[in-house]
Amino acid sequence: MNEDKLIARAARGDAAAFNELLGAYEKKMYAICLRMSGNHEDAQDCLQETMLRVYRAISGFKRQSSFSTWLYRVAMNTCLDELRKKRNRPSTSLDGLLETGWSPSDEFDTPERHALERERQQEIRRAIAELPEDMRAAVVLRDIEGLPYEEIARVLDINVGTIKSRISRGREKLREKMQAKAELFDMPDV
Amino acid sequence: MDCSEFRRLLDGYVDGELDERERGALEAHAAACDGCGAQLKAARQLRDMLGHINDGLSVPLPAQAAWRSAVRAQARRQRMKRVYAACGAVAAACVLTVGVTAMLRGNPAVPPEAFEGRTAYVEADGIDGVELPAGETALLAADSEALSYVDRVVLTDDIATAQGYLMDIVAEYGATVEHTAESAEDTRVYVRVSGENAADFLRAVDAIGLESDEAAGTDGGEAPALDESAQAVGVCVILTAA
Repeated sequence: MNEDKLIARAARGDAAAFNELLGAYEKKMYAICLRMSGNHEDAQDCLQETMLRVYRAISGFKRQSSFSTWLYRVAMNTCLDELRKKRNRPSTSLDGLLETGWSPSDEFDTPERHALERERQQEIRRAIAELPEDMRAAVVLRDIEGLPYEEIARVLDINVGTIKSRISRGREKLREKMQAKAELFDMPDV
Repeated sequence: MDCSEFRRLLDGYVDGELDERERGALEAHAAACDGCGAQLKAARQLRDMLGHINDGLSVPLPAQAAWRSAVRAQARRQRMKRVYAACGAVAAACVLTVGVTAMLRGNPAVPPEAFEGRTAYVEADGIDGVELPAGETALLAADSEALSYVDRVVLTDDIATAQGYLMDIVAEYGATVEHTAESAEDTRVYVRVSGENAADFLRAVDAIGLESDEAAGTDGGEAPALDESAQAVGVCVILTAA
């Protein structure tokens, strides 16, 4: 069944149509939740809340943007809301998660990947999780999800100039983190 | 190209937005400047790593199950609300049928003469203080001179659900539904509630919809005011689409 038909059925409260429709976006939504929250436990909560919000709101989806842009917007707003809520609770550090058995490499089914590469990836994921939320959102949508600047502006409801600035500053901070680990990333000390 | 020009163009380089001349100039500067060379190497490496950071990522099974289960539970709750609203409408219709039949048969608890001379809100012509003919809109005035009456307009995007909530509130405040009238424009629910509970009941009603307001008097005058000292208050709740 095509997406428009599934959207129409889901908007009438058809849970099976909704599950089929959103099943196709599940991985993208989860990836956003994971990169924004920085850990699997919060990503799972965030994904569930995102899907519930979409389910409640889909009857009001007015097709003023593409369905995927609208989903990105709901997912990103949910992530940002969850992060705000979390700021008021005792935080769980990445180190804490590592100690309790979570490993960033768990998400990769590539045991053959070189240890150095895994360490670099872990360092980058940690650096993303440490970015300020506004920069993180912009960098995740641009450099991980590959959205064009105009679509990111629609998702985050911010003008393109601000988006470019946030992405530029976000990238700069990530490069600084890499250069602070120059040996790991095989960079000259400058 | 100098270092500040390099920094200005670096994001465009990463995004693939530079033309051939700009790209060549930027790479030439990076080759001659250690600091900018390191920046360019980091930018390329970062772009490649971020572009592949989700490679091999799969959604954990518990996460897949959790959102599907939450959506199914939400769908069940919504279905129950609709069923509950429909049951409320059916129950109200039964009350009306029993009430009218009782009047026509001379139910001793509500003798027909009890309606004579009573004041009431009459939906048909909206005039207070008229003598009531026997009829469904007279039910609010069935047994008390002390009956006061007010109305509320509740704007909602889902009349059936709003009606379900109203039934909950009716039960919570010990009120009774006297009559329900549905039309293409709205659904009107006539409720009797004790004067003591009337203010709280109305506050709860006001919270049902997107917006709620006292209805204007149907004779074009002021909306009737709540008389909390009344023995009983008749409330006409008008549920209408926002």
